[in-house]
Amino acid sequence: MDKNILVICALGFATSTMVKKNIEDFLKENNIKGWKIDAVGVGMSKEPIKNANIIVSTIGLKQEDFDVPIVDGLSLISGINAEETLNEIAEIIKSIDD
Amino acid sequence: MILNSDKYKNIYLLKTDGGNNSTELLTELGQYAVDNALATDGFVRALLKREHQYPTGIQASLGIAIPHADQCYTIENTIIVALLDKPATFRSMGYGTEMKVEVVFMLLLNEENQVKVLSELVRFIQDEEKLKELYTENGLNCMYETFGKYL
Repeated sequence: MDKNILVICALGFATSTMVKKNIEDFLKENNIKGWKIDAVGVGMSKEPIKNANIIVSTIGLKQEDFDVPIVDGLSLISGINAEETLNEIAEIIKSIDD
Repeated sequence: MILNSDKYKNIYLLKTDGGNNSTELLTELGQYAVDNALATDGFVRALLKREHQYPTGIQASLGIAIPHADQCYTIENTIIVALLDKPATFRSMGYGTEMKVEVVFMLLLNEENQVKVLSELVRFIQDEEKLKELYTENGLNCMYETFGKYL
């Protein structure tokens, strides 16, 4: 089964969609397979979180509240430091896949 | 206060005096959407509530905000761009710190085509040249070229 990146924003449609698209493009460009990306609003995120291997959020989630790696996805909207964020995600994917 | 408004199909380009806080500005822009039959009555309230709980300010080459509310308030797929003469105070997405916003992209989208509109929007926000172009005579045209086919 594919591993899962869960993108969490406030409503689950606008900012998470923007972040999701950026990560999808990045995974495709780097030929990273076996990962699927879902986007969800924070109010509906309880169930999906159980299946997530990585969480990317635009609402400032804190790492100490979660068992899986939390990545701040805001740079993927502003474009400032986006590359660092994508590399961070790639590193985490690598550590999980290995 | 809205000083000037221009539109082409579902894209609006407004100039406002700005200088106020996000609540005042969003009330004005939200009401503008309701008055133009783009959003239903509860939109302003939903917009303010969401901005309060989860602010939408983003620091790109300019200070940007992308306020939006639940899709159920959308009547017409629309993007309302507001250029502020004086920056307004918003809070930043994720961090909640105060920031100055110069350009607001208010989104009224429903399920259909939203992925494409949002994918284009994220590229637009990151493109310093396109943001600058909004302030020129070609501003509305530039928005239409990018988003028109998806709205």
